[in-house]
Amino acid sequence: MKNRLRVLRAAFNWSQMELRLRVGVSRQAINAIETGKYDPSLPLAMKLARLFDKTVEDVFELEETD
Amino acid sequence: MTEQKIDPNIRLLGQIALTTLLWAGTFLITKTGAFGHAGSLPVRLALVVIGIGGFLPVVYLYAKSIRMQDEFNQRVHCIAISIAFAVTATVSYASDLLFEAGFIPPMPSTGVWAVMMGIWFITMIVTPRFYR
Repeated sequence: MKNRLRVLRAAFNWSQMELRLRVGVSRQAINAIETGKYDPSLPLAMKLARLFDKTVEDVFELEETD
Repeated sequence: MTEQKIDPNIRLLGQIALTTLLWAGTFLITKTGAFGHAGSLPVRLALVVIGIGGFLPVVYLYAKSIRMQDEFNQRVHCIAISIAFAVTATVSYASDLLFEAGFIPPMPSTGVWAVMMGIWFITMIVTPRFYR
């Protein structure tokens, strides 16, 4: 699954550490999500989307191969 | 007066230290024969209860530490324990066959879970690298 997390985080000028504190997960989780190596659960995806005032579909995109 | 809250991770570390000491103490009592030769039934029963009782807090704290992790780290734990189980099953099955064939002495049961813990620990370190 692709996502725009890194772009949105940069737009808000937040580090991965800041983002992880706001969402309540580890920095490794944030990094894994941004690199596309880990797909978050629905509650976490919604938390992230709400943080950036976006919908889940605005932040995450299903790839053709998914 | 403001109440200083202890960081949950620091509190957990403290609890781990205490339970490790408790376990080490009960382990020494049950394994080294500190009570002398356990001949009578009540003494043998007491040793078993002490041994298991000293280990249960370790199990409880392990479960607590997993619950404190986020979903990503819980997943890493799940992968690590799966791999550790598979390797341990292979090692214990192979050592059983080797013992039956007369190549090696019997492997103590505590050795089995020591292998599992070792593989688990190594896998916990290695697995997150695949997510970078």
